Amino acid sequence: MQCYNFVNTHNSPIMRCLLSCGLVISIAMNVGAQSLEDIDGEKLKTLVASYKNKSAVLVNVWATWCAPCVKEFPEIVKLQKALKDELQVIFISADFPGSKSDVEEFLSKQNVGWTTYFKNDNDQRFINALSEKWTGALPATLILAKDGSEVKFTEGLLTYEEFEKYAKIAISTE
Amino acid sequence: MKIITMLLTALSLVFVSITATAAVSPELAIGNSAPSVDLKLTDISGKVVSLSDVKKENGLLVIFSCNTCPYVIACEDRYLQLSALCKSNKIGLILVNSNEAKRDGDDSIAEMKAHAKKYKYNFTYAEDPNSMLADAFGATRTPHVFLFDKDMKLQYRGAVDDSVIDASKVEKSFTVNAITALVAGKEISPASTKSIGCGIKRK
Repeated sequence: MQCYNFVNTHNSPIMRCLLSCGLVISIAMNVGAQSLEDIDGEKLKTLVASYKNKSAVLVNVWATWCAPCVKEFPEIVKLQKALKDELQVIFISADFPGSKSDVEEFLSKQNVGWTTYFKNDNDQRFINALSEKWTGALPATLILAKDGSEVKFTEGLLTYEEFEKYAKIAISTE
Repeated sequence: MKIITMLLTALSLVFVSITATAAVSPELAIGNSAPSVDLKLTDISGKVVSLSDVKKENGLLVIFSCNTCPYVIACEDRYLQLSALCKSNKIGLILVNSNEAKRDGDDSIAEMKAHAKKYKYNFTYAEDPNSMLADAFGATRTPHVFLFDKDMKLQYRGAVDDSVIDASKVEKSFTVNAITALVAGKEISPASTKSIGCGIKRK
């Protein structure tokens, strides 16, 4: 709801244009509202690019049925809260269509509190939009520096310490 | 004698250490030979098999799979279609379960047996010891497909099709097309695809 208010108070032509691209809600991620938006490969590229020269980015693709995803999820939430001014976490659920309510319930339990995404695209297009290195295994994490350069891409479980290490490298890379 | 025993112990420790830290290879490249073709795998009937044993006159289809991944469950129907296609085209088919970290639970041989019965498997379903075959192939997920020709050179790798989670939305049957092209002696295109799947649970 706070995102909605934020948008309404910035009713300029530019903001209306950005809203139509779905970017304002994305940029306002850290203001405390939780929502789940569909995302395809093109929207993912645009969203990631919107943070260039603004903050480091951590994209995590997960699913409610993926045990390692569920295990590392709270660590990423914790990291986002610790580094809220310097890092933007973009969670993307790869759950099956029709299971959005399960995803929303999980997000609520995890107290995510910002906009996250639900994959709505052909696998191959979406995989290549995130990283050529991604073979498709879950979980997948991409960490980008403020300048948009890749700091880390990995498939599989990471610990809080590992996430933090790469996030701090990303934040310190101008 | 004591010195020999100590040396043997030290050597075995080095061997165990090397084995334990064996790295996962990059995903096998198109045109490369199948690795570990004589690695002994145990199938759900208790029989010891290798890729060489399962291969037929025109090649071999290897699919890394498991019992619980929703992506696998969603494409069980296509496994049976691929089985029929492989049979009619003299291509061997083996499903390999490399989830070593779940071997005491969901991916035990007993569970594999029950799973195969439930989904009416009529092909080899085998356990990969310590994920060795997955490591050699650079297999990362389930399902993950590798199609070899009669000389066991890789001709196709990747996704079962372009809509693993929903058979009604399949537009490109990548693996079916690859098998058809392979036996017809035509170029396989695309030879490499990707799909989302469950990460292989290595120990």
